[in-house]
Amino acid sequence: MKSIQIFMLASCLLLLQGCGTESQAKPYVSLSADEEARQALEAEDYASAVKRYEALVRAEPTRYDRYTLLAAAYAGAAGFDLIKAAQGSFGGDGQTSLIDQLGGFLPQDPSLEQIEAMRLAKEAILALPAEHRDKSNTAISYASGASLQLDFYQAAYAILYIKQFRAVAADGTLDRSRLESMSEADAENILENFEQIAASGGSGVAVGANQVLAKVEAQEGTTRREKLIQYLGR
Amino acid sequence: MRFLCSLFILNLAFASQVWAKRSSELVYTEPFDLAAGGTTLTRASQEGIVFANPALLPLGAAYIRWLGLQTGVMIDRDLAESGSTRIGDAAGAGESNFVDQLFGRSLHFGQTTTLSFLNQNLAITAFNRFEVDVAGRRFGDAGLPTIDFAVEAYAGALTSLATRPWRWLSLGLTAKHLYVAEPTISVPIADQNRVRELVENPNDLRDEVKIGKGTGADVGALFLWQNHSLDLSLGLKVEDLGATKLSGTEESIPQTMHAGVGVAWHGTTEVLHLSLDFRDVLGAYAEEKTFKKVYVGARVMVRQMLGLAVGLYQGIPSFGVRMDLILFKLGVTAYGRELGDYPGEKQRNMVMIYTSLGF
Repeated sequence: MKSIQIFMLASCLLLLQGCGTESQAKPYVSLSADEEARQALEAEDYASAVKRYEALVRAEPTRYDRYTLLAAAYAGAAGFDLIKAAQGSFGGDGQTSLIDQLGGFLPQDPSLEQIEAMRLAKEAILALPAEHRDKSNTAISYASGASLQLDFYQAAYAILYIKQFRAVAADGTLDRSRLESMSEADAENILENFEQIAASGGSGVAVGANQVLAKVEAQEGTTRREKLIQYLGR
Repeated sequence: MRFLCSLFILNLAFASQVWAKRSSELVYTEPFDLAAGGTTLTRASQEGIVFANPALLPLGAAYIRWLGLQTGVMIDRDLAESGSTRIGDAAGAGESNFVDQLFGRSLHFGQTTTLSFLNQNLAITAFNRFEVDVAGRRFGDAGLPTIDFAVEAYAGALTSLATRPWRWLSLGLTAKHLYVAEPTISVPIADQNRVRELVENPNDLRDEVKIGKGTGADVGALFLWQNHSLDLSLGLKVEDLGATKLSGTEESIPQTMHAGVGVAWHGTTEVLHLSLDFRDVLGAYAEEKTFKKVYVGARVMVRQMLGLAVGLYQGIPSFGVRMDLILFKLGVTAYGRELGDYPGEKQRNMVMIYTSLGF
C-alpha cells in the first residue's frame, strides 16, 4: 500500500513539474466570440482582432461598447502605440508641436494600409451616437474614453496623412518635391481633422491641435494648402 | 510597498463598481487546501473546515481538535522568485516607470488570518482575507489603456455545529456574519481630466466604495463508506442558504450548491487522499465557465509531520508543503488563480507562506 501511495504522489509531482504554471484548462474551454476578439486584441494580433470585432459589430450594430475595441484594433493595426501616447503630454509646452510629439508614437514611414487603418479607427468612434462619445456623459462607462480615443485617433490619422508628404530625403533634408505634391484636397483633409479635434474643446490633444492650426494660419500663403506646406516645410 | 499602499488608498476614492462576490470561490481557503487544488468538500485542514464543509467536523475525534491562530501572506510568484529587491523596485519606482511595469506584469499581494476553536461538534472562527491586484490593461473596457486596482476584502465570524448520526453520514451547519468588498477601480492612463475631476470632488465618489455585511448560513453533508484501507466519501454543501443579503450594497451572495468526491488510502502511518470538487453545480454564477468550478487535488501526511499536496486549482497547477510540529505549523503553497473569464486572461501565479500557532 505504501508503495502505491509513493508512486501516486511521485506521479502527481512529476505531472506538476511538466505543467509549470500553465493553465491545464485551456484545451477544454470554448471562448465566446467576444472573448476570442478580446484575446486577439490582447495578443496584439490586430488583423484577427479587426476581423472579429468587425463581424461582431455587423451582427449587433447597437452593441456600442464593441466600437471602442474595434477602433483600438484598427489603431493597433496602424502601428499606434497608445500606451506611450496616452502617457504623453500634448500641447503643454508650446515648443514642440503636436505633430512631432504624437508623431513619435506613430510609424515613421506609414504605408497606405496603416493610414487607412487609422482612418477606420476614428470612423469607428464617429459611428457611435454622439452621446456615447461625449466626455461629460458619466452614465455610459465608455463615453469619456471614447471621446479621448476620438481625439487621439483623429490626430494620429492627420499626422500619418502628413507623413506621406513630409519625408526626409537621402541627404537628410526634407524632400520638398514630395511635400509640394500635397493636393488641395489632402490639405483640407488634414486641417479639417485638426479643426474637429480643436472643436472638441478638451485639453491635451485638443490644445495641441489648436496650436497647430494657429501656426498654420500665421504662415505666408494665399491658400490653406500653401500655408500648411509652408508650416510643414519649416 | 508604502507607495503601493498609498496608491491603493488614494484610488479607493475612485471606485466605480462594487460587487458582492464575483465568483463561486470560497471566501477563505486554507493554504494547505489551496495546495491540494482548493479541494475542501471531502477533506479540509482544521483551520479551514468551517469554510469548507462543516460536516467534516465530526471526523475529528478530540474534544479540542484545534485552538489556534493561522496567518499567511501571499505574493505574486514571479516577484517572489526574482527576490525581494524586485518588489522594492516596483514599489519605489517613479510613477511613470511604475505604470510601464504594470503593462508587462501584474502585482498581486495579500494576507489572511484565522483564529479558531474546533472540536468534533462545534467550531468558532474569526477570519479576514485581503488581496490586492494591480495590473495594467493595454485595452481597457473603453479600448484605452487603464490601470486596474482590484481588491478582495473579506472578514467575519462563523460558528458551526455538526453531528454524525450514523457512521455513514455526517451533517453540519454554519452560521456566519460576513463583511465583503470587491471593488475594481479602473483608471484610464490617458483620462487625466477625469482623474483630476475626481481628485477635486472626492465627495462625489466617497460613498461608492461600500463594504457589504450580511448574515447567512451554510449546510453541509458528508456520506462515507469506510473499510480498513479505503475510504470513499461524497461531500455536499449548500452555501449561502437562500442567498446572503448584504446591507450597505444592493448585492447579495447567491445560494450555491457544491459537490465533491474523495478517495483515501490508509497506509500504516500515512493516508493519501484524492479529491475532486465541483462548485456551483446549479450555475448560480451563470457567467462562470466550468473550468473555474473544478478543483482536483491529492494530499498526504507523512509520519503526521510532513504534509505534501498537489492539485489543479481552476486548472492551474498547485502544490505545497507543510510541517506540523507540536504547537507550530509552517507551510508554503504555490498556486494560481484565474481572475478573468477564460484561461490565461488574468492568471495570477502566487506563493503563500503561512504559519499556525495552536494545539
